[in-house]
Amino acid sequence: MTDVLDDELTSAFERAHEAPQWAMPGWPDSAGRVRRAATRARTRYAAAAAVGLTLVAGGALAAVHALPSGEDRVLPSNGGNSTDANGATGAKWLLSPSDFDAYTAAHPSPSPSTDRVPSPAPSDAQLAQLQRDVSAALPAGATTVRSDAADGGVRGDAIIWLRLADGTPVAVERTRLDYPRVLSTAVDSATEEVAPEHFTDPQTWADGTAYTIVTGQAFGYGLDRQTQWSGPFVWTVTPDGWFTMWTAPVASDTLLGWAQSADASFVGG
Amino acid sequence: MEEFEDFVAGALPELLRFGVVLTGDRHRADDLVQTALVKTMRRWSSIDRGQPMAYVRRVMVTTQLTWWRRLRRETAMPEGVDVVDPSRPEAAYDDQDELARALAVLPPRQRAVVVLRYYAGYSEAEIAETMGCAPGTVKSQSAKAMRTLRRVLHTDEDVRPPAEALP
Repeated sequence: MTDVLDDELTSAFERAHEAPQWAMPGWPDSAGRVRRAATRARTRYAAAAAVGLTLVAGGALAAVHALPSGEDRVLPSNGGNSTDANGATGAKWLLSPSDFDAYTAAHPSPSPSTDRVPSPAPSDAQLAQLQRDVSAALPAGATTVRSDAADGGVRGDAIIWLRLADGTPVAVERTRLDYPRVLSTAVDSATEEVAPEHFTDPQTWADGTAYTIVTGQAFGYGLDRQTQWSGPFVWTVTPDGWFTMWTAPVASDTLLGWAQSADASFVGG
Repeated sequence: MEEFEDFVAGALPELLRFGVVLTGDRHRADDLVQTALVKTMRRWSSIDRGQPMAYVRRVMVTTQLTWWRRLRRETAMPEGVDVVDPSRPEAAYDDQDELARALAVLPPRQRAVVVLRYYAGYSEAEIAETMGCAPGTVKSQSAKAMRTLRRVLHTDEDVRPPAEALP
Protein backbone atom coordinates (compact mmCIF):
# COMPACT_ATOMS: atom_id res chain seq x y z
CA MET A 1 0.00 0.00 0.00
CA THR A 2 2.83 2.39 -0.79
CA ASP A 3 1.34 4.44 -3.57
CA VAL A 4 -0.32 7.82 -4.02
CA LEU A 5 -3.49 6.65 -2.37
CA ASP A 6 -1.51 5.32 0.57
CA ASP A 7 0.11 8.71 1.04
CA GLU A 8 -3.21 10.49 0.69
CA LEU A 9 -4.83 8.32 3.30
CA THR A 10 -1.90 8.61 5.67
CA SER A 11 -2.04 12.37 5.42
CA ALA A 12 -5.82 12.63 5.68
CA PHE A 13 -6.02 10.32 8.69
CA GLU A 14 -3.26 12.21 10.44
CA ARG A 15 -5.35 15.34 10.21
CA ALA A 16 -8.39 13.39 11.37
CA HIS A 17 -6.86 13.35 14.86
CA GLU A 18 -7.52 17.09 15.08
CA ALA A 19 -10.19 17.88 12.48
CA PRO A 20 -13.52 19.12 13.88
CA GLN A 21 -15.55 16.81 11.61
CA TRP A 22 -14.70 13.85 13.81
CA ALA A 23 -14.97 15.52 17.18
CA MET A 24 -17.72 14.88 19.70
CA PRO A 25 -18.63 16.64 22.93
CA GLY A 26 -17.56 14.79 26.06
CA TRP A 27 -19.84 13.41 28.74
CA PRO A 28 -20.43 15.58 31.81
CA ASP A 29 -20.34 12.63 34.23
CA SER A 30 -18.39 10.06 32.26
CA ALA A 31 -17.68 7.57 35.03
CA GLY A 32 -21.23 7.77 36.35
CA ARG A 33 -22.62 7.21 32.90
CA VAL A 34 -20.51 4.08 32.47
CA ARG A 35 -21.65 2.74 35.85
CA ARG A 36 -25.30 3.30 35.03
CA ALA A 37 -24.87 1.75 31.61
CA ALA A 38 -23.27 -1.27 33.25
CA THR A 39 -26.33 -1.71 35.40
CA ARG A 40 -28.66 -1.55 32.44
CA ALA A 41 -26.48 -3.81 30.34
CA ARG A 42 -26.83 -6.69 32.76
CA THR A 43 -30.22 -7.48 31.34
CA ARG A 44 -29.18 -7.37 27.72
CA TYR A 45 -26.45 -9.95 27.53
CA ALA A 46 -27.08 -13.52 26.63
CA ALA A 47 -27.29 -15.72 29.67
CA ALA A 48 -24.99 -18.52 30.69
CA ALA A 49 -26.04 -19.28 34.22
CA ALA A 50 -29.48 -20.80 34.25
CA VAL A 51 -31.86 -19.59 36.87
CA GLY A 52 -34.90 -21.58 37.85
CA LEU A 53 -38.19 -20.00 37.01
CA THR A 54 -41.41 -20.61 38.81
CA LEU A 55 -44.31 -18.41 37.96
CA VAL A 56 -46.87 -18.12 40.66
CA ALA A 57 -49.83 -16.43 39.10
CA GLY A 58 -51.67 -14.43 41.71
CA GLY A 59 -49.41 -15.97 44.29
CA ALA A 60 -49.60 -13.53 47.12
CA LEU A 61 -48.94 -16.18 49.73
CA ALA A 62 -46.16 -17.75 47.70
CA ALA A 63 -44.61 -14.35 47.30
CA VAL A 64 -44.28 -13.95 51.02
CA HIS A 65 -42.67 -17.37 51.33
CA ALA A 66 -40.15 -16.46 48.66
CA LEU A 67 -38.85 -13.48 50.56
CA PRO A 68 -35.75 -13.69 52.69
CA SER A 69 -36.38 -13.72 56.41
CA GLY A 70 -36.42 -10.41 58.18
CA GLU A 71 -38.38 -8.34 60.61
CA ASP A 72 -39.45 -5.93 57.94
CA ARG A 73 -41.15 -8.59 55.83
CA VAL A 74 -43.57 -7.17 53.35
CA LEU A 75 -47.17 -8.25 53.32
CA PRO A 76 -48.79 -8.39 49.91
CA SER A 77 -51.59 -6.02 49.19
CA ASN A 78 -53.83 -5.12 46.36
CA GLY A 79 -53.42 -1.93 44.39
CA GLY A 80 -51.63 -0.54 41.42
CA ASN A 81 -52.34 -2.24 38.16
CA SER A 82 -54.62 -5.14 37.57
CA THR A 83 -54.16 -8.00 35.17
CA ASP A 84 -54.90 -7.10 31.61
CA ALA A 85 -57.94 -8.16 29.61
CA ASN A 86 -56.37 -11.53 28.89
CA GLY A 87 -55.46 -12.16 32.49
CA ALA A 88 -51.76 -11.73 31.81
CA THR A 89 -49.42 -10.59 34.55
CA GLY A 90 -46.24 -8.61 34.52
CA ALA A 91 -44.33 -11.87 34.70
CA LYS A 92 -44.59 -12.17 30.95
CA TRP A 93 -41.88 -9.46 30.78
CA LEU A 94 -39.40 -11.33 32.97
CA LEU A 95 -38.14 -14.43 31.21
CA SER A 96 -35.85 -17.26 32.11
CA PRO A 97 -32.75 -17.61 29.91
CA SER A 98 -34.29 -20.41 27.87
CA ASP A 99 -37.57 -18.57 27.42
CA PHE A 100 -35.69 -15.40 26.59
CA ASP A 101 -33.67 -17.21 23.93
CA ALA A 102 -36.86 -18.55 22.42
CA TYR A 103 -38.40 -15.10 22.46
CA THR A 104 -35.41 -13.43 20.82
CA ALA A 105 -35.38 -16.07 18.12
CA ALA A 106 -38.90 -15.12 17.15
CA HIS A 107 -38.87 -11.38 17.88
CA PRO A 108 -36.12 -9.09 16.61
CA SER A 109 -35.00 -6.69 19.30
CA PRO A 110 -35.72 -3.02 18.66
CA SER A 111 -32.91 -1.00 17.19
CA PRO A 112 -30.97 0.77 19.95
CA SER A 113 -30.71 3.87 17.81
CA THR A 114 -34.37 4.73 17.57
CA ASP A 115 -34.90 6.01 21.12
CA ARG A 116 -32.12 8.44 21.61
CA VAL A 117 -32.52 11.79 23.28
CA PRO A 118 -30.08 14.22 24.85
CA SER A 119 -29.21 13.82 28.48
CA PRO A 120 -29.99 15.39 30.84
CA ALA A 121 -33.44 15.86 29.44
CA PRO A 122 -36.06 18.21 30.85
CA SER A 123 -38.48 16.86 33.41
CA ASP A 124 -41.60 15.26 32.06
CA ALA A 125 -44.84 13.73 33.30
CA GLN A 126 -43.29 10.30 33.68
CA LEU A 127 -40.53 11.62 35.90
CA ALA A 128 -43.04 13.59 37.95
CA GLN A 129 -45.16 10.46 38.41
CA LEU A 130 -42.13 8.50 39.54
CA GLN A 131 -41.21 11.25 41.96
CA ARG A 132 -44.67 11.12 43.51
CA ASP A 133 -44.64 7.32 43.76
CA VAL A 134 -41.20 7.25 45.31
CA SER A 135 -41.91 10.03 47.76
CA ALA A 136 -45.04 8.25 48.93
CA ALA A 137 -43.14 5.00 49.46
CA LEU A 138 -40.00 6.16 51.25
CA PRO A 139 -39.78 7.19 54.89
CA ALA A 140 -40.29 10.85 55.65
CA GLY A 141 -37.22 13.01 55.27
CA ALA A 142 -35.93 11.52 52.00
CA THR A 143 -34.47 14.16 49.73
CA THR A 144 -33.91 13.99 45.99
CA VAL A 145 -30.27 14.46 45.06
CA ARG A 146 -30.85 14.55 41.35
CA SER A 147 -33.21 13.25 38.72
CA ASP A 148 -33.18 12.71 34.99
CA ALA A 149 -35.99 12.14 32.59
CA ALA A 150 -33.72 10.38 30.14
CA ASP A 151 -30.76 8.92 31.93
CA GLY A 152 -27.88 8.32 29.60
CA GLY A 153 -29.91 9.32 26.61
CA VAL A 154 -32.49 6.56 26.77
CA ARG A 155 -35.92 7.94 25.98
CA GLY A 156 -38.48 7.43 28.67
CA ASP A 157 -35.97 6.09 31.16
CA ALA A 158 -36.75 8.22 34.19
CA ILE A 159 -34.41 7.94 37.16
CA ILE A 160 -34.20 9.52 40.58
CA TRP A 161 -31.36 9.45 43.11
CA LEU A 162 -32.29 10.18 46.71
CA ARG A 163 -30.91 10.12 50.22
CA LEU A 164 -32.90 9.03 53.22
CA ALA A 165 -32.78 11.11 56.38
CA ASP A 166 -29.93 8.92 57.68
CA GLY A 167 -27.94 9.44 54.49
CA THR A 168 -28.72 6.08 52.88
CA PRO A 169 -28.66 6.45 49.08
CA VAL A 170 -31.52 5.15 46.94
CA ALA A 171 -31.90 4.99 43.17
CA VAL A 172 -35.13 4.31 41.32
CA GLU A 173 -35.47 3.94 37.59
CA ARG A 174 -38.61 3.45 35.53
CA THR A 175 -39.07 2.75 31.86
CA ARG A 176 -41.66 1.29 29.53
CA LEU A 177 -40.41 -2.01 28.19
CA ASP A 178 -40.78 -2.91 24.55
CA TYR A 179 -38.89 -6.16 25.00
CA PRO A 180 -38.73 -8.69 27.86
CA ARG A 181 -35.83 -8.81 30.28
CA VAL A 182 -33.92 -11.96 30.97
CA LEU A 183 -33.49 -13.14 34.53
CA SER A 184 -29.94 -14.29 34.44
CA THR A 185 -26.47 -13.54 35.54
CA ALA A 186 -24.86 -11.09 33.19
CA VAL A 187 -22.17 -12.41 30.91
CA ASP A 188 -19.86 -10.06 29.11
CA SER A 189 -20.08 -11.20 25.51
CA ALA A 190 -16.48 -10.17 24.82
CA THR A 191 -14.83 -11.72 27.83
CA GLU A 192 -17.22 -14.46 28.98
CA GLU A 193 -16.92 -12.95 32.43
CA VAL A 194 -19.83 -13.87 34.67
CA ALA A 195 -21.06 -11.31 37.16
CA PRO A 196 -21.81 -12.59 40.66
CA GLU A 197 -25.52 -11.89 40.64
CA HIS A 198 -28.48 -13.90 41.81
CA PHE A 199 -32.10 -13.57 40.82
CA THR A 200 -35.05 -14.78 42.78
CA ASP A 201 -37.81 -16.46 40.90
CA PRO A 202 -40.32 -13.86 39.69
CA GLN A 203 -43.44 -13.61 41.77
CA THR A 204 -46.66 -11.78 41.26
CA TRP A 205 -48.68 -9.68 43.60
CA ALA A 206 -52.41 -10.11 43.66
CA ASP A 207 -52.82 -7.20 41.27
CA GLY A 208 -50.86 -8.97 38.56
CA THR A 209 -47.68 -6.96 38.97
CA ALA A 210 -44.61 -9.14 38.90
CA TYR A 211 -41.42 -8.56 40.80
CA THR A 212 -38.07 -10.18 41.23
CA ILE A 213 -35.15 -9.53 43.52
CA VAL A 214 -31.59 -9.36 42.28
CA THR A 215 -28.63 -9.54 44.62
CA GLY A 216 -24.94 -9.62 43.97
CA GLN A 217 -21.74 -7.68 43.86
CA ALA A 218 -21.92 -6.39 40.31
CA PHE A 219 -21.53 -2.70 39.80
CA GLY A 220 -24.58 -0.85 40.92
CA TYR A 221 -25.34 2.81 41.24
CA GLY A 222 -23.46 5.67 42.71
CA LEU A 223 -24.39 9.15 43.77
CA ASP A 224 -20.78 10.21 43.54
CA ARG A 225 -17.33 8.75 43.92
CA GLN A 226 -17.76 8.33 47.65
CA THR A 227 -21.27 6.86 47.54
CA GLN A 228 -21.41 3.68 45.48
CA TRP A 229 -22.98 0.37 46.23
CA SER A 230 -23.92 -3.01 44.82
CA GLY A 231 -27.29 -4.76 45.12
CA PRO A 232 -29.82 -5.66 46.08
CA PHE A 233 -32.09 -4.67 43.27
CA VAL A 234 -35.83 -5.10 43.06
CA TRP A 235 -37.48 -5.16 39.68
CA THR A 236 -41.21 -4.74 39.28
CA VAL A 237 -43.11 -4.77 36.04
CA THR A 238 -46.77 -4.21 35.34
CA PRO A 239 -48.76 -6.28 32.86
CA ASP A 240 -48.47 -3.48 30.32
CA GLY A 241 -44.71 -3.32 30.62
CA TRP A 242 -43.93 -0.51 33.07
CA PHE A 243 -40.64 -1.60 34.56
CA THR A 244 -39.31 -0.07 37.77
CA MET A 245 -35.96 -0.88 39.33
CA TRP A 246 -35.09 -0.04 42.92
CA THR A 247 -31.68 -0.27 44.44
CA ALA A 248 -30.24 0.82 47.78
CA PRO A 249 -27.78 -0.63 50.29
CA VAL A 250 -30.58 -1.90 52.56
CA ALA A 251 -32.23 -5.25 53.27
CA SER A 252 -34.03 -6.82 50.35
CA ASP A 253 -37.28 -6.84 52.28
CA THR A 254 -37.03 -3.13 52.95
CA LEU A 255 -36.39 -2.43 49.31
CA LEU A 256 -39.25 -4.67 48.28
CA GLY A 257 -41.56 -2.87 50.66
CA TRP A 258 -40.76 0.48 49.08
CA ALA A 259 -41.19 -0.97 45.60
CA GLN A 260 -44.52 -2.47 46.46
CA SER A 261 -45.76 0.72 48.07
CA ALA A 262 -44.78 2.79 45.06
CA ASP A 263 -46.29 0.26 42.71
CA ALA A 264 -49.58 0.46 44.58
CA SER A 265 -49.91 4.14 43.75
CA PHE A 266 -48.65 3.84 40.19
CA VAL A 267 -51.38 3.80 37.60
CA GLY A 268 -49.28 3.56 34.47
CA GLY A 269 -48.05 6.17 32.06
CA MET B 1 -11.84 1.93 40.50
CA GLU B 2 -10.59 5.48 40.75
CA GLU B 3 -7.89 4.55 38.26
CA PHE B 4 -10.54 3.44 35.77
CA GLU B 5 -12.44 6.69 36.23
CA ASP B 6 -9.28 8.68 35.60
CA PHE B 7 -8.68 6.65 32.46
CA VAL B 8 -12.20 7.34 31.22
CA ALA B 9 -11.88 11.05 31.89
CA GLY B 10 -8.60 11.27 30.03
CA ALA B 11 -9.30 8.93 27.14
CA LEU B 12 -12.91 9.85 26.38
CA PRO B 13 -12.29 12.57 23.77
CA GLU B 14 -9.99 10.31 21.76
CA LEU B 15 -12.28 7.31 22.12
CA LEU B 16 -15.27 9.31 20.89
CA ARG B 17 -13.25 10.60 17.95
CA PHE B 18 -12.11 7.07 17.12
CA GLY B 19 -15.74 5.96 17.32
CA VAL B 20 -16.86 8.59 14.83
CA VAL B 21 -14.05 7.70 12.43
CA LEU B 22 -14.88 4.02 12.80
CA THR B 23 -18.63 4.35 12.33
CA GLY B 24 -19.24 7.66 10.57
CA ASP B 25 -22.15 8.21 12.92
CA ARG B 26 -21.97 10.25 16.12
CA HIS B 27 -24.90 8.53 17.78
CA ARG B 28 -23.46 5.12 17.01
CA ALA B 29 -20.06 6.25 18.21
CA ASP B 30 -21.56 7.43 21.46
CA ASP B 31 -23.22 4.06 22.04
CA LEU B 32 -20.11 2.21 21.00
CA VAL B 33 -17.82 4.02 23.42
CA GLN B 34 -20.28 3.54 26.26
CA THR B 35 -20.59 -0.17 25.57
CA ALA B 36 -16.84 -0.60 25.25
CA LEU B 37 -16.20 1.21 28.51
CA VAL B 38 -18.73 -0.94 30.34
CA LYS B 39 -16.93 -4.04 29.13
CA THR B 40 -13.58 -2.52 29.99
CA MET B 41 -14.75 -1.63 33.50
CA ARG B 42 -15.66 -5.25 34.16
CA ARG B 43 -12.23 -6.40 33.02
CA TRP B 44 -10.26 -3.52 34.46
CA SER B 45 -8.41 -5.56 37.07
CA SER B 46 -6.96 -7.86 34.42
CA ILE B 47 -6.22 -5.35 31.66
CA ASP B 48 -2.63 -4.51 30.90
CA ARG B 49 -2.25 -1.08 32.45
CA GLY B 50 0.05 -0.04 29.65
CA GLN B 51 -2.52 -0.88 26.96
CA PRO B 52 -6.02 0.09 28.12
CA MET B 53 -6.59 2.22 25.03
CA ALA B 54 -5.75 -0.69 22.76
CA TYR B 55 -8.14 -2.88 24.72
CA VAL B 56 -10.99 -0.39 24.42
CA ARG B 57 -10.37 0.05 20.72
CA ARG B 58 -10.45 -3.70 20.22
CA VAL B 59 -13.78 -3.93 22.03
CA MET B 60 -15.14 -1.05 19.99
CA VAL B 61 -14.17 -2.68 16.71
CA THR B 62 -15.53 -6.11 17.57
CA THR B 63 -18.70 -4.63 19.02
CA GLN B 64 -19.24 -2.44 15.98
CA LEU B 65 -18.92 -5.43 13.68
CA THR B 66 -21.22 -7.51 15.87
CA TRP B 67 -23.82 -4.75 15.97
CA TRP B 68 -23.63 -4.37 12.24
CA ARG B 69 -24.19 -8.06 11.67
CA ARG B 70 -27.08 -8.09 14.12
CA LEU B 71 -28.72 -4.95 12.84
CA ARG B 72 -28.30 -5.95 9.25
CA ARG B 73 -30.13 -9.15 9.99
CA GLU B 74 -32.87 -7.71 12.13
CA THR B 75 -33.65 -4.18 11.18
CA ALA B 76 -33.47 -1.61 8.48
CA MET B 77 -30.68 0.88 8.93
CA PRO B 78 -32.24 4.02 10.38
CA GLU B 79 -29.39 6.39 9.75
CA GLY B 80 -26.86 7.36 7.18
CA VAL B 81 -23.61 9.21 7.47
CA ASP B 82 -23.76 12.24 9.72
CA VAL B 83 -20.17 13.39 9.67
CA VAL B 84 -20.56 15.45 6.52
CA ASP B 85 -22.92 18.35 7.06
CA PRO B 86 -25.14 18.46 3.95
CA SER B 87 -26.02 22.09 4.61
CA ARG B 88 -22.45 23.23 4.12
CA PRO B 89 -21.66 24.70 0.71
CA GLU B 90 -19.77 22.35 -1.57
CA ALA B 91 -16.93 24.85 -1.88
CA ALA B 92 -16.30 24.63 1.84
CA TYR B 93 -15.62 20.90 1.78
CA ASP B 94 -12.12 19.90 2.71
CA ASP B 95 -10.14 16.68 2.66
CA GLN B 96 -11.82 15.47 5.84
CA ASP B 97 -15.25 15.74 4.27
CA GLU B 98 -13.94 13.86 1.27
CA LEU B 99 -12.48 11.22 3.58
CA ALA B 100 -15.78 10.89 5.42
CA ARG B 101 -17.73 10.36 2.22
CA ALA B 102 -15.20 7.89 0.91
CA LEU B 103 -15.20 5.85 4.11
CA ALA B 104 -18.99 5.77 4.05
CA VAL B 105 -18.85 3.69 0.91
CA LEU B 106 -16.92 0.92 2.62
CA PRO B 107 -18.63 -2.00 4.37
CA PRO B 108 -17.87 -2.01 8.11
CA ARG B 109 -15.14 -4.67 8.05
CA GLN B 110 -13.23 -2.90 5.30
CA ARG B 111 -13.73 0.40 7.02
CA ALA B 112 -12.40 -1.03 10.27
CA VAL B 113 -9.28 -2.30 8.52
CA VAL B 114 -8.61 1.08 6.95
CA VAL B 115 -9.26 3.01 10.15
CA LEU B 116 -7.03 0.75 12.21
CA ARG B 117 -4.28 0.91 9.61
CA TYR B 118 -4.25 4.63 8.91
CA TYR B 119 -5.89 6.28 11.89
CA ALA B 120 -4.63 4.05 14.68
CA GLY B 121 -1.39 3.16 12.91
CA TYR B 122 -1.70 -0.58 13.48
CA SER B 123 0.30 -3.21 11.63
CA GLU B 124 -1.49 -5.99 9.76
CA ALA B 125 -0.77 -8.37 12.61
CA GLU B 126 -2.21 -5.92 15.14
CA ILE B 127 -5.28 -5.40 12.98
CA ALA B 128 -5.80 -9.14 12.73
CA GLU B 129 -5.53 -9.50 16.49
CA THR B 130 -7.87 -6.56 17.07
CA MET B 131 -10.50 -7.85 14.68
CA GLY B 132 -10.08 -11.46 15.69
CA CYS B 133 -9.33 -12.67 12.20
CA ALA B 134 -6.44 -14.08 10.20
CA PRO B 135 -3.79 -11.79 8.70
CA GLY B 136 -4.83 -13.04 5.29
CA THR B 137 -8.32 -11.73 5.90
CA VAL B 138 -6.88 -8.34 6.75
CA LYS B 139 -4.94 -8.36 3.48
CA SER B 140 -7.99 -9.23 1.40
CA GLN B 141 -10.24 -6.73 3.17
CA SER B 142 -7.58 -4.08 2.80
CA ALA B 143 -7.14 -4.77 -0.90
CA LYS B 144 -10.87 -4.50 -1.51
CA ALA B 145 -11.07 -1.29 0.49
CA MET B 146 -8.18 0.26 -1.39
CA ARG B 147 -9.72 -0.59 -4.74
CA THR B 148 -12.93 1.12 -3.69
CA LEU B 149 -11.19 4.13 -2.17
CA ARG B 150 -9.03 4.59 -5.24
CA ARG B 151 -12.13 4.62 -7.40
CA VAL B 152 -14.01 6.97 -5.10
CA LEU B 153 -11.24 9.41 -4.28
CA HIS B 154 -9.73 9.63 -7.72
CA THR B 155 -12.92 10.07 -9.72
CA ASP B 156 -15.94 12.33 -9.47
CA GLU B 157 -18.44 9.54 -9.35
CA ASP B 158 -21.43 9.66 -7.05
CA VAL B 159 -20.33 7.92 -3.85
CA ARG B 160 -23.70 7.41 -2.31
CA PRO B 161 -23.15 4.47 0.05
CA PRO B 162 -24.87 1.17 -0.65
CA ALA B 163 -27.34 0.06 1.97
CA GLU B 164 -25.05 -2.58 3.40
CA ALA B 165 -22.32 0.01 3.95
CA LEU B 166 -24.32 2.27 6.22
CA PRO B 167 -23.11 2.15 9.79
